[in-house]
Amino acid sequence: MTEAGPIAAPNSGRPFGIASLSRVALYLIIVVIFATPYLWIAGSTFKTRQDLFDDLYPVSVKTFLPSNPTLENLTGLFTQTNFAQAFLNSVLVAAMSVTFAVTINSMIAFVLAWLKFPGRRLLFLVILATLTIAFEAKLIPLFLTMQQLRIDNTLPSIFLPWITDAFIIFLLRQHFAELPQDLYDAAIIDGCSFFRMYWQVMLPNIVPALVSAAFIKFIFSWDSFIWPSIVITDESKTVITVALAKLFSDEYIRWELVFAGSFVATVPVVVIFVFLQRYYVQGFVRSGLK
Amino acid sequence: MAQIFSNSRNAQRYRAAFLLSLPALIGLFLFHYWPIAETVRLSFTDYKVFTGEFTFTGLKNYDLARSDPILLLSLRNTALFFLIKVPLQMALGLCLAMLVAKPGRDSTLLRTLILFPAVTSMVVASIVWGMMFHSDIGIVNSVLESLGLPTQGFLRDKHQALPVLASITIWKDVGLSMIFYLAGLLAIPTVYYEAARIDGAGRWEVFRYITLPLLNRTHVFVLVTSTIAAFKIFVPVEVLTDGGPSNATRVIVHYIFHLAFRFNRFSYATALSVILAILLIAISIFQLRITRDEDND
Repeated sequence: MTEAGPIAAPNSGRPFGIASLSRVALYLIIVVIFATPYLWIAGSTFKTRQDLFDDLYPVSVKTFLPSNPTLENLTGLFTQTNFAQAFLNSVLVAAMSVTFAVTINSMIAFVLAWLKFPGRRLLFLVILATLTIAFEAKLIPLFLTMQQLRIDNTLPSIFLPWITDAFIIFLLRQHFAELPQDLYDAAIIDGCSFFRMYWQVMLPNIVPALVSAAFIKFIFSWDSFIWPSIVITDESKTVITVALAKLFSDEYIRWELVFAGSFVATVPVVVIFVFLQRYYVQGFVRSGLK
Repeated sequence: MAQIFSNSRNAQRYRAAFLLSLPALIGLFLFHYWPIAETVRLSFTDYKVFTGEFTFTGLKNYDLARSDPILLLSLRNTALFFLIKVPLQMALGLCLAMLVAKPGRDSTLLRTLILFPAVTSMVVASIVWGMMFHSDIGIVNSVLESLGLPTQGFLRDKHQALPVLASITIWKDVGLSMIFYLAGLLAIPTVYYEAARIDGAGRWEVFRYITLPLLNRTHVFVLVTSTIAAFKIFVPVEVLTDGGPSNATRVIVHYIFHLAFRFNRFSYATALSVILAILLIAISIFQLRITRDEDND
């Protein structure tokens, strides 16, 4: 709290002053709160069921480190449950969501940024207005529509409703609009068509924003739970979050599998995040504060 | 610029623009505007489970909602959840942002760690914290016992369940609040701080009269977005408590979800969806207005 603002007090030079000690303590508390769940998931994934329960009382280093490491939980997860299928489905749904969302939203974002036509501000506002209605308020007609189109219980029915995304349109329009007029004029003089303007001139210049949009959509898709649990009834089409919640709600909970499932659902995303963190943060910051 | 092109060139451009916009326009219509209109329409009907037909019944569903004790309870619990979660998340988000604003390796690492929950599934976050707070086999009670403190019921205690759920969602969402505050902090020109230092302002005064007011736009943004998120709380309730114990965690989206997809009461559920949507818009407008008024003071 006291280290307010970007110009924080410089270190006093004494490595073990009261201030630096309290700072270390504060860091430690934060690390414990944010890291413990991950360490517990990771450690427990490689423990036998017996060790899992034995190591809980009292909590010690052993709680987070397997003393007899085993891969049984992971192999059990993939052979005795439908988790492998659910994982694959989640990957497919995320891949489709990202591909379609980035393509479709960037196209209209480009038009909104670079075509001067009457009513373009109005169109932009009408698109942004969709952000005010919660997805949760549209679940029932969306579900009935999927039934009427007879595509409920299919993987496309999961990602179709969230491909068009006003948030991404907004984010990408901002980036398109900030590209220099010279770029546009030069391409026009070269006889560039409007479509090639989008595809070959403008799009390559906003790649970082595209990565932001893609990663944010990926996280959204990977995290989604309520919609897939409604529109999918077939076990073979289920996604990872629904499969995990089901594992957790069984009459006889197989805790060791729940840990292994949480591990599998979390590790890929966190690893990707470590590399794409900058894009993720930029995507939110740029669209949030303008 | 425009006059150097022939009309056919312009027509070509508009055609290309139309084709580029078309997929998104179709998507917006099919999956945004149409379902909203349908939600409103269905809220004035009655759904017959056996025939699958919707018959017009006027305001019946809304009359029903006015005297529905569980709806009232859900709204009360949702409001309570919002009151616990949002102020805490904003305060913690700001504190963490100030902590990691200092450039350096430890700040970068801490920032990454605090953002891990943001990219972790809400289902995973719910499950792992649900197990940590488990009253019999949870780590938290194990630690309490080792310290000689009384163990707690947590999710099985009707007074503790909602605050525990709020803590879990704060853990998950505080990273993003921190990021917005961090961006806000870094946008404050350093001259303000330098001037304050020359004037001999203490750290608290600098915080109270420079940092806090200059973050006003960030406060508004974080307040509105986290409020909307709080009112849509669903996943931890569905995964961990299913509305219990004794309805202590029954919240609005969970109630709508169960009316529709467990009891097939589609029409009544759409009426509650309309109420939820209007409520969210009203709260957002209200928050924007009061914070704007403060701006003008």
